Amino acid sequence: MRDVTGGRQGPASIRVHDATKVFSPGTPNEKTALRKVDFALEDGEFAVVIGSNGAGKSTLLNALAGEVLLDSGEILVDGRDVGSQPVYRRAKLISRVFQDPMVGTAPELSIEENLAVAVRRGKRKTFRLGLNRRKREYFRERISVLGLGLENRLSEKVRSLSGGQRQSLALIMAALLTPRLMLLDEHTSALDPRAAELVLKLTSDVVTGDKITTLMVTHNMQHALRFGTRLFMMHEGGIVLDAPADEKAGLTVNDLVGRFLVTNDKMLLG
Amino acid sequence: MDFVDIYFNLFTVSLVQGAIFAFPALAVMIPFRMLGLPDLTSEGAFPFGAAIVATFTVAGFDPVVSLSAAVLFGFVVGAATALIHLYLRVPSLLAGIIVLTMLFSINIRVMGKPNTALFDNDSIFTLTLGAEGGEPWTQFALILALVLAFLAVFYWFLNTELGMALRCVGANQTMSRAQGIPTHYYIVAGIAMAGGFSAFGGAVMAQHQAYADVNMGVGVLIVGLAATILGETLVGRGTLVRQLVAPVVGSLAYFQVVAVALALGLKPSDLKLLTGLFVLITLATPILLRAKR
Ligand SMILES: Nc1ncnc2c1ncn2[C@@H]1O[C@H](COP(=O)(O)OP(=O)(O)O)[C@@H](O)[C@H]1O
Ligand SMILES: [Mg+2]
Repeated sequence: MRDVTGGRQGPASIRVHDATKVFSPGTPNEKTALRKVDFALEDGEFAVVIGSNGAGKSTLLNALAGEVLLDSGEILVDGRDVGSQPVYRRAKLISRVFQDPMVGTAPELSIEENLAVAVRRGKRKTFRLGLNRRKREYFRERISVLGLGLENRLSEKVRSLSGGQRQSLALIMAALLTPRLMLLDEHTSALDPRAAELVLKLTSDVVTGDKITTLMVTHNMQHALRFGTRLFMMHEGGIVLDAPADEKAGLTVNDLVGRFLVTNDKMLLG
Repeated sequence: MDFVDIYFNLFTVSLVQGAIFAFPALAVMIPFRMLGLPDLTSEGAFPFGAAIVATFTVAGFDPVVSLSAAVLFGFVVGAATALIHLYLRVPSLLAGIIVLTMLFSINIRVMGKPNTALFDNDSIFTLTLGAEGGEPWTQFALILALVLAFLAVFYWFLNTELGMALRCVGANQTMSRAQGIPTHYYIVAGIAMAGGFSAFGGAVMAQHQAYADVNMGVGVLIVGLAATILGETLVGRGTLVRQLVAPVVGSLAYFQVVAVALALGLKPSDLKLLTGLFVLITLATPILLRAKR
């Protein structure tokens, strides 16, 4: 039996083992986006990922979701290797919110229809009606926590929502059926500061409230320090800093910027 | 005086035509609007449905069984286009052209000749409207009832979990996959349904004119497109009901416009040119308006 605990206490629900991904191998554009990335997440852990542009953060999340297939390495969810499963199969266990507010929701479907799709995430679809009174009641309750008044606009098409409203809806959808892992890739970066703050607050509430194991990428150092129970810093396809909650609590933005510079210097000197 | 007379004569016949063409119009609308994937298969599925219904009828099957067979084979043809597109990576338009081209030969094989007369055979028209097959008015009522029945079932389906997933795939494939929907299966099913609709239209057409011909499909696609666009300008497409009703209303309106044009002395052979121009103008208008700004 493989040790899936990652050397920590408690069961690791998510384990990434020696994940490696090279884009365009053997060409002048060859790019190692992930080099032997190895970590485990405990149940309910909220890990924040930072790192410079091109560090491999999105590739890591895409590999977990199945959009990118690894060249080598494993992705274990509750001890089961899902690395060869297509995106739609992994969706049973893994949900995500995309960076682009246009990508995470279906604009031509109403708010309640989007929720109806999300409430069957990864489940077998049937000839039963997708919506009924009970479901609408439930959706209204779930979406009212946003405080955006969307509960009164359930039958409106998502096309008419703002970016912030869409990301909020996408977040509710991603958490509607509690996933084993939730992936958030700079999901507030396309929003204005106020909407970003709102969605982040909501993210924190949802993640801690439902104890969802989460991997959140952000380029905002302050957000990285304020949220989450663990901090990863990525550089050149590898994890160069892995700070658990107590160490993370003692970090400052200056520390992080310092680490950025150090890793960059090392690369330059090395 | 002349115009009124001719138009009056054409009026009910055009209603019947419009009702029949509502089926291929729906078959054009489904891939274009609901799946966001342009598809030409309906042009081939229409005569294929006619050939199937003719062959089954001549073989002695009753009209309803023959029509059902046409729908079933229409599914297969639509699915074939989608599979060629998805798994052989052929652009959807080219996949449709390949399929409809091959269908021309298949249709002749199926019937054993380029056309089949059904003058002495039963149809849904003789079955329900008497041995003579009814008058244009009653024929129109019958076909419209069929259209509405199909629409009702389709509307119900689109509101089931499966149908909602289908619409979701049409709206956003990346999101659909992330929600656990195997998009390929749904695209195949959606295009297959469009094939079924078109084949059914062709089959009803063959029963109505008691005649199936391999060339029946020529121009069906552009008529379906014109009907969809015309219908959408008349009833809009803001809701699911409007989107579904638009091709039907559009098809009925289209054939009335055609009747007026013919009554004004236009040659039937000019119609395809005018229909093409109509589609071109509606497609180009937004672009030209934007360029002017
Ligand atoms: N589909 C792809 N094809 C080729 N190169 C890619 C692809 N996706 C990402 N890359 C490259 O891999 C590296 C890591 O990218 P990414 O994971 O998007 O970085 P980050 O999200 O940390 O900014 C970058 O150099 C990027 O150019
Ligand atoms: Mg990125």
